[in-house]
Amino acid sequence: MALFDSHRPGFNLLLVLVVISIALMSLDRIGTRWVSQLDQGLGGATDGIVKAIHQPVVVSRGIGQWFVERRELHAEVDRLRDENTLLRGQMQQFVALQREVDELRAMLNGEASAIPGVLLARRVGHPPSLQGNLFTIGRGHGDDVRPGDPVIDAHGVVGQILRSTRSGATVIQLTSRDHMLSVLLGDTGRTALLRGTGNRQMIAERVPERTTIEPGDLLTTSGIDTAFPRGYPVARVTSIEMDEAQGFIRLIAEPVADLERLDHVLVITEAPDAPDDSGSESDTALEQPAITPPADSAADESTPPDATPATGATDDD
Amino acid sequence: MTTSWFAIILTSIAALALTLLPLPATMQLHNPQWLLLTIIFWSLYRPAQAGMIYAWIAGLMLDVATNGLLGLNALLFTMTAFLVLSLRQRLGVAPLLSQALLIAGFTLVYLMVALWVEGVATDLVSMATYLSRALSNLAAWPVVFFLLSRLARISER
Repeated sequence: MALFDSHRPGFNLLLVLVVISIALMSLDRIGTRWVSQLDQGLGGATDGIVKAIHQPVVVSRGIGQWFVERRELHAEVDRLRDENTLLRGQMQQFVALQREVDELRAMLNGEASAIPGVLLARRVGHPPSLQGNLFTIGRGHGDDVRPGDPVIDAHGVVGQILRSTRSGATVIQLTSRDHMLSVLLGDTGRTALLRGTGNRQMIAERVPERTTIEPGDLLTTSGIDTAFPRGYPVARVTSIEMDEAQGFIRLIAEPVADLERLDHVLVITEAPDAPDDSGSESDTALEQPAITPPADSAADESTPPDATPATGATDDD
Repeated sequence: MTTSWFAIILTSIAALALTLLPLPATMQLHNPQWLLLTIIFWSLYRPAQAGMIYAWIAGLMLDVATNGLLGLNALLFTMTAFLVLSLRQRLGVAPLLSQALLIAGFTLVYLMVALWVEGVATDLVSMATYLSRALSNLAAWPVVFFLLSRLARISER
C-alpha cells in the first residue's frame, strides 16, 4: 500500500521551488517583461474559468430579458432615443468648444487634444481579492486593450487596466490602495496626487494651505502622469483636513464614477495627450499601469518621474 | 494505486473555480481555500503523482487567477505540500478529526508566512539583488570547499 512507501519529500526540490517563487515575486514586483508575459499567458486559462463560472449569471439574465414585456421595451427605446437626441445636441456644442479650446491651447503651448479612441467594454465579473477593487471586462489584447489604459464610465474615471489577456482584461479601480493618479485641483491650476484608500474615499495629501479649494470642488485628471488624458472628472472633494503645523492641507474626495453599479465601461485605447516626440519612451510608460507599491521608496518605478514625488507635484507652480 | 492524472487535474480546476466563485465580500473572506485542501488531499494519498511541483503549479495558477503577487501562493502551496509529505505517514492514518485540526494548524502557518511575505513585499525589489548573491554563493561554495578542505588537510600534518 502506498501509505508505507516513505515518499520523503526532496529537500533540494523544495529549496529550488522556494528560490524560483521568491525570484518570481521579486521579478513581478519589478515588472519584468517576461514575467508579465507569463502572467498574461496563464491568465488566458484562468479568465476562461472565470467566464465559465459566470455563465449561469449571464444565461439567467438572458432568460430574464426574454420575458420583458414589449411595452416596456418600447418605453425603453423611446427613452433612449430622447436621451440620444439630447446628447447629440449637447455634443454639437462641445465640438465647437473643443475647437475653441484647441485653438487656445495651441496658442499657449502648442498642444492640442484630439478626442481619444474609446472602446465600450462589458464587465464580466470580479476576481476574488481581499480588497475587492478589481474587476474583469470582456475585452483584451485582441481589441487593443493594453495594461495601463485608462478606464472611464459615463460620469468619470473608473481606473486602469492592470493586466490584459487575449480576450479579457482586469481593471484596477482608482479607489484601490495600490492606485494613484495626478489630478488638477478644481480651477486652481495646482496638481496633487490622489491616492485610493481601499474604500470609497480617496486622499490627496500635501496640498499647500493657501490653495483655494472647498468641499464640492471637482478634481480632474491633469495629464502630467501621461497615463490618463487631461480633463476627465475624477472625484469631488468631500472634506478638507488641516495640518497646521506643516502648512499643508489634506483633501478627502469621493469618486464621481458610479463604482457601485458598473455594468459597461469605456476603455481609452489611445491617450491623446501622450508626448509624440519620444515614441518608444511613451510606449513603455503606457505599458506600465500607474500603480505604486505601498512604500514611498518604490513609488517611481511605474509613474513617469515628473509626476511622482507628492511634494514635487504640488509645489511646482 | 494510481489515480489518473485526468482526475487530479479536473479536481484542481474545479477547486480553482470554487475559489473564484463570485460571492459577497463578507462571505469571500470565510470561503475555504478549496485548492489548498485539494492539494493537501492529493499529496497525502497520492504522493507519487501529486508532489511539490504539482503544488507549485497549482499555486501559480491561483496567483494568476486572483491577480496576487506572482509566486506567493506558489511558495506557500509548495511549503504546505512539503509539510504534508513529511508528516504523511502520521497524518495518513490519523482519524478525520485530528487531520482537520492539523490542517487548521497548517492554515495558521500559511497565514503567518503570507502576512510576512506581504510585509516584505515592498522590499522584494532589493530582494532580487540578494537573490543574485545567493546564486553567486552557490557557485562559489565548491571553490571555497575545495580550497579550505585542502588547507585543513595540509595543516593537520
